[in-house]
Amino acid sequence: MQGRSTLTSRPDGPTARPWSATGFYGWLLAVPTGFLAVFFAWPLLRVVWRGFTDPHPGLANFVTVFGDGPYLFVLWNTIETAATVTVLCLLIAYPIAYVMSKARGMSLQVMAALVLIPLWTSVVIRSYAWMVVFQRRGILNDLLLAAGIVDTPVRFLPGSFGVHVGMVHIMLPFMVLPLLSSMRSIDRTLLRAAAVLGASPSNAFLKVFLPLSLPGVNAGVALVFMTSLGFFVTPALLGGPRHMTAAVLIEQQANTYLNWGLASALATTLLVITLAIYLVYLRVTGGAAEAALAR
Amino acid sequence: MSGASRGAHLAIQGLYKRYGDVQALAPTDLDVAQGEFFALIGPSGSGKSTLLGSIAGFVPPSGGRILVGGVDVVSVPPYRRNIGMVFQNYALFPHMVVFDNIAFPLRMRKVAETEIRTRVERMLAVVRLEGMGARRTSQLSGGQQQRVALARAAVYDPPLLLMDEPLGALDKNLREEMQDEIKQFHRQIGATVLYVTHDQDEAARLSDRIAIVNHGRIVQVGAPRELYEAPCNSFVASFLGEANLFPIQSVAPAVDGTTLEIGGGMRLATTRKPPEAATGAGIMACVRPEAIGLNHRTSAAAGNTVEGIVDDAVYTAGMLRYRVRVSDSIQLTVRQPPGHAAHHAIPGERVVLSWRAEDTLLVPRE
Repeated sequence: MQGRSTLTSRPDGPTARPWSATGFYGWLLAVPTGFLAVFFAWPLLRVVWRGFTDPHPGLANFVTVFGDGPYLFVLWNTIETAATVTVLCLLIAYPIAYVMSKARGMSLQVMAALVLIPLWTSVVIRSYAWMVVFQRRGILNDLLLAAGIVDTPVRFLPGSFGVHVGMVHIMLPFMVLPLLSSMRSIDRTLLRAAAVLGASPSNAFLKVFLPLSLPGVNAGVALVFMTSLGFFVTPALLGGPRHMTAAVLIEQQANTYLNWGLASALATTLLVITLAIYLVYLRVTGGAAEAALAR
Repeated sequence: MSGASRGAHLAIQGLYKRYGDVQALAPTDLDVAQGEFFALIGPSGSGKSTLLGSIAGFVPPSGGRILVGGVDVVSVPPYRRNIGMVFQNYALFPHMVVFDNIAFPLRMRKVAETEIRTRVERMLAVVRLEGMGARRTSQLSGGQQQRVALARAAVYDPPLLLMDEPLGALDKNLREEMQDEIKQFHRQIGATVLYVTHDQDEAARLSDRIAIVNHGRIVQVGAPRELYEAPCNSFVASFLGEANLFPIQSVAPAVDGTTLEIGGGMRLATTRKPPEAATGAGIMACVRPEAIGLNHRTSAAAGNTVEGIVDDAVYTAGMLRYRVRVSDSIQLTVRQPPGHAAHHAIPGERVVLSWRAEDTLLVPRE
């Protein structure tokens, strides 16, 4: 406050403002801001605008989306799929991250590599790989037949089973990594303290470790859920018409039926739903995040 | 609060720990009386943390017994040992408020909530944190966090309380204040306390007895004064307080004691008897800085008189500390209360140092 008043009282005004770090860093943001404005914000606005104007100005597209057609069902299916994938990822990733957070040296590096290497392979290739596994005469059916568990090949594809497996596989690292980073920041002395104070291993986990790992759970859940809502490749390849998701539907409306207005309205609706869920989520987890920051 | 009767007798018998070929703790025996305040001191890596960890249950010992109140706890998991512990960085649970931190051990023991309330409130009063129960631990100062840690470690009346350098993270003034509080706290709760520190002043100030640990073994056990005045070897002499230590070249009997040749033509007189058949190689002479008088009128009682030149003089909190060069290879440290000596020497000044023959201690070289 003191510094500011002496600055403004200078006779030569703003031209004499000294160089400041924040001012300089502000300029550093100019390039990414400009990039986002031109290549993200503006196209996004165009999409929203188009939803209200193409082919005629008005709410016709949104009436269709919220009408009797399959659109609401597809949106609901998308949210349900994203939620299921998120829960499955959390259940699978938590133990993985827990073991990794305790590991040191070589074993940690091997486990980190196993988590990270799939990230280097394209999502398209991994989705095709699951097709190979799940198709009628695929590896899984061969195994089931050979083991005598089934008599005729099971129809895994297209359908929600394949979509879930594929998406969980792809999203898993995005759950493991935030969990791992928050678990590794937990002071192990706290667990020793809990033990000395009388907490059995399960109590020490439930009352100390789990609550302290919640910031990672929140981050991972947000990341996986939001990404899953807009997932395209895997549901497109493994889901088929029986397991349509919003992204696939939008692509179909835009590219196959050239129905850009309806595609835009669907995209806008998905965007609004995503934002709404995110805001609710922030509200719910806000206390936990704040507690974690207060450490 | 029924006082000292609640403390447990702690007996360590032949306890040792090996990591592969490395011996972290040599077979150790130790007895700590009921309600005693007992300190373990030693340099870092000396094995004192291994010993403490074994008692707490984090470090499985390679052999030996740990008897708390007569019961061997070696095979008991930490959460069933009912031992209290205060950690160096406090280890308060950051996701719980002060009240819940202190209530934690009671909740683990399934104590009724109404009783938890009474006991936590009583404990908050003991550590002078009344009304702070709803605070987050991150809102507390270092000293307050330390007090919460004390309260949490004692609220379930453990008969044995371990403290692992609990004041290590505090600055000097606060540390001294907290030492008084810990002392008072100990009187109130009456538990047996095993206190690990590397600060010998702190150990001397707090403890009934001290064990000095080095290279994985207990070197000497005794009351602070005993250890200071009769160190069992040169390590103890230099670790506990300051010591002028001289290697001895040869030993000759004198009229009422022994004359020690320490090189540079210097001889020291002592009334102490060197161990039999000692040539001097295995022992050292030790003179405490406080025992040395500076420019005292030489008296017959002095026994030792040497001249030297003051290299430097430092005033620290009620003490004047001189480094006096006696010869090229020998420098003596002298400490005096400033009021005591009428004359305050300055660097470069020629002074006469004198001390009684009985103040020249003989200690085995370590």
